[in-house]
Amino acid sequence: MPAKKPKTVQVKWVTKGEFTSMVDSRAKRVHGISGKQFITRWKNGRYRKLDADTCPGAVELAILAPLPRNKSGRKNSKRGRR
Amino acid sequence: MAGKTPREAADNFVNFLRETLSCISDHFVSAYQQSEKLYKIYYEPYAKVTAKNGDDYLLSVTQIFRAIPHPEQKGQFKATTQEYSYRLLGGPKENTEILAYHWHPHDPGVKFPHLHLKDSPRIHFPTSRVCLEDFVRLLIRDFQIEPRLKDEEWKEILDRNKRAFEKMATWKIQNP
Repeated sequence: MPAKKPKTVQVKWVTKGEFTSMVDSRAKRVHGISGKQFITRWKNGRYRKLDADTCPGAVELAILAPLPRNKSGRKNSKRGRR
Repeated sequence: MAGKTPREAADNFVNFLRETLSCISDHFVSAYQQSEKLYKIYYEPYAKVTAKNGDDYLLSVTQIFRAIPHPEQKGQFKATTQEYSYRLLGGPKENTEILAYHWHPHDPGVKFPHLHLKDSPRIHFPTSRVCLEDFVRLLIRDFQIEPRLKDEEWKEILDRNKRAFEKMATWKIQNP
């Protein structure tokens, strides 16, 4: 008799190393560069005109990566409270 | 969804998200605590989902949230969404993206929640705030994604979790 599949999936809490590795892998997939290079370029303003359509996956990478957030966006943050 | 510590509030929030995602995928959800109060939820690799006609899709869900002091319950914490991205892809390559719901007010560009559609490149269709439960329901209803659970089970989960979301959300959803 087959095992009954669990109704709720697992959550895997990852370490900083695993997370950094994931960001690196995504940066290579989306931009063809390392995670470190992506973060450096972001800080230098290279992606100010980031567009999700011309570069799918880029926005997702940007919100996942440990990047500095601009202050102008923070004024909206209260609206996002859940 | 409140918790006695930031981590407990985060755990409670993550449990809602994983239960909602369990309706359509058995893929595990990855979670990362970047700081005491900042958390990130995502799929890595992307989750495979299958439509009733046998077509396979990939699902990428990313949610960034903070655990903050609860404004109404002293000594409690609650999760507050900071950014999200819900994407449906037709294949393993990024350029197969079919649609994407985004809200990333802290990044350059469009600050309001919006929708990207493959057939309308460079257009940011404004949306209300979109909760994960509505995205999963869209996939089941309109993309015919096969649910993992019985109809009464997934409907009950999505209804219950959306109610919890609406109760806790500072910025309310505009229902269709």
